[in-house]
Amino acid sequence: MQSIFQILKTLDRRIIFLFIAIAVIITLVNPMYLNISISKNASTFLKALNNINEGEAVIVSFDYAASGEPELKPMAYGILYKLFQRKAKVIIMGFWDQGPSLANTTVKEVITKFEKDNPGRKIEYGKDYVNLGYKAGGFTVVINMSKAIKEIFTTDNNGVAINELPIMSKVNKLSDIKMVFGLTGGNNGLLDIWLPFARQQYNVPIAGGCTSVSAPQFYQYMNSGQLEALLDGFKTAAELLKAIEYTDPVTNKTANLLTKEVHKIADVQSIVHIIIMIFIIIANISYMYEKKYGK
Amino acid sequence: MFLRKTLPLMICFLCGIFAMVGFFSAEGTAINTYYEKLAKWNSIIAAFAMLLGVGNLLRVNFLKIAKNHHDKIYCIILVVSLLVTAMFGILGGVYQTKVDPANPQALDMFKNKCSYIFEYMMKPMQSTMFSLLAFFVASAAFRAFRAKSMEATILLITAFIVMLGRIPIGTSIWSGFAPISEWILSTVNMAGSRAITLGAAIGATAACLKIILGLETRYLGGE
Amino acid sequence: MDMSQIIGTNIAAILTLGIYSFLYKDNFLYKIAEYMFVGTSAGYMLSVTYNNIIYPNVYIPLKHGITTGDVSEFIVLIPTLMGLLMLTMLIPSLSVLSRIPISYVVGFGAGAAAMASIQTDIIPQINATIMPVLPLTYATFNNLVIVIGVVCSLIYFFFSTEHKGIIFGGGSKIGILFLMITFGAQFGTTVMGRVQLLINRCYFLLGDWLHLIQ
Repeated sequence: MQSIFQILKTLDRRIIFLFIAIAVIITLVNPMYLNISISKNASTFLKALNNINEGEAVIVSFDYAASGEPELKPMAYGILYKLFQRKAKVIIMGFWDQGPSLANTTVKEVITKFEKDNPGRKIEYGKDYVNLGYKAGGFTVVINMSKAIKEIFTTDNNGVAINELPIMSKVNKLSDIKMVFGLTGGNNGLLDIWLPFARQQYNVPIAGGCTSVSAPQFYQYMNSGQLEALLDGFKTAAELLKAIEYTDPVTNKTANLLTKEVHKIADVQSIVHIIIMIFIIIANISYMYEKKYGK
Repeated sequence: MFLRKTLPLMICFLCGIFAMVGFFSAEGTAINTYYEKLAKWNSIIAAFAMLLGVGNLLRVNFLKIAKNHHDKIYCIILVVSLLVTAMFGILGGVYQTKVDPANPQALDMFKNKCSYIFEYMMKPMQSTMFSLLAFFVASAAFRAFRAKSMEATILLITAFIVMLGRIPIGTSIWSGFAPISEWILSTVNMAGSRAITLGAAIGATAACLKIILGLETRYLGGE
Repeated sequence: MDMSQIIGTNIAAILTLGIYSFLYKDNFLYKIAEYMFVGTSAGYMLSVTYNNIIYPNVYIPLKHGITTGDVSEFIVLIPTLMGLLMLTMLIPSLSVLSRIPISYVVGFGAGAAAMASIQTDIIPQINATIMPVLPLTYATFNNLVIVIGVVCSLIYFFFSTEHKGIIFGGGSKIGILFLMITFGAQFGTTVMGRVQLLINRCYFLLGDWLHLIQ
């Protein structure tokens, strides 16, 4: 018994890495498709999306880099799909340099799926959505947007003059925006820019999406009413995708956006978490045994 | 001395006070107009600050190459990849654009290359770098996460409940994990986070006031 | 999939495996990928900064001012000159000039941040903590937990007096409990965030590269 605990005490960390890697590979190849239930946070977020009416302008701020994409892209996918369903005018921008590029990829995927599910509707750039690109300066951009968005964003991401875009014809300042959906991967996003300036100073409603790492610190803003709704990591992103429904044009049945890929990833999360917990339990048993019976 | 300390501190003080007053200024007033103008200039200067960062990176690596450092080869790789990406990005644009072969433009050969580098090199490398943390979290938890005291035990039990409440298998084992986890996050955790935020915010406000009043000058980079 | 996508996927896979080789041992493949990552990221950031900020906000207004003679466009020279002064930090003999734009940015930022901090993190959070705790129902019980948690955690962080007696001693002990639960919850959510990245990369390697999964 003592030798087992001695081995565990001096276990090479590469063995742990190997266990994690094997668990991920096996579960990806043989997923279980465990049930995902919709939590209160996901329902609240869906309600916030359903409050956006036809023709209303919303901002979706992509404030993350490739490191935040695994958790925030599913959120962005669900949000954009629902906004297109609601026929909102979607204005994409970002305070991180990689954000608008990542947005382009996500929007293309959403449009392909949306147009396949809704054969009668075509999503047009410049009319239904626009990508204004990246802007440095953080809160100073929001301050300027409160007066004149077109002065700070003179062109869109592709260099087209902003006055030539029909979607921006009735959007002149921040008060013309119904809601801001901020997807944040760290600093320079929801906490430092949108909440203190757009929400507190200019009273623009904000709904947020964040990574699991920073999720615990956002609950206080939900409690104080500063955030209308929050998606706290991959878990609620998957729940939102399950909650968003559409009618499949082929089968005429109600389907949801939860893809097999997202479902598989949720399963892998489960297995890796269980393995980490087992390792922690083994380490603690070994520690208690050593404490009780000595070295 | 004037240029080194006095002038910067004066500018910092005036800009800081102006920013504080402008925050409360009503739209349409002269203060508000100039507040927005100064805010716009901030974003242009922030862009040059990024150029400074890149310039410093190039300077450090060129020095290493010139001094025949043992990591010279890697420095050359860094400099070459920086210059190639910047060349494609500045001359051809960062985002994907349609190239019309029937109507060739002078810079067509540079187009879409930067977005290709972003999609197939930068994004995978960044994601992979951060994904290494998953392995290190597991190994660090195994080596260091011990229930040595009452507080550590509470931390451990809470971590387990929250983890089980946020994964599908946890709710399959027992449906109670999800509501308990939700309660912990929205009530107890929220209270602790709020206290930390309040303390940090008060500290940050004090630090900002110290900077504006010239009591804190470390941002100037020393004497 | 066209040829450029196939080549790109293979490049991405090689770079991914090169970085993962670090888990076994630090080696030249990992170092190449690491330095290449820093280089491409810096080059990309430079490109985005030029295309999205300097070109539309500096070059276009100046060009418009020169061609039309509109003097008001030349006001953009002030922040441009300040930005160029910032670059003098790279030249030791002129680096003192870089303090001017730095003090402008820091001063303006500090002023706005102080106000934003008070308006977002202090007043609304204190306001939200003032909640009804009686009569004791499920909702008010939660409110009571939050009020006790916030007050006791703040007592724990108050180091100007010794943590003795009922108020400071007892309060700080309860505060530690709340903080331990907070950190436990944060650990729990952090694990999920980190693991998500790993799953994403494995999905790419097994799906997009090796086609072992759909």
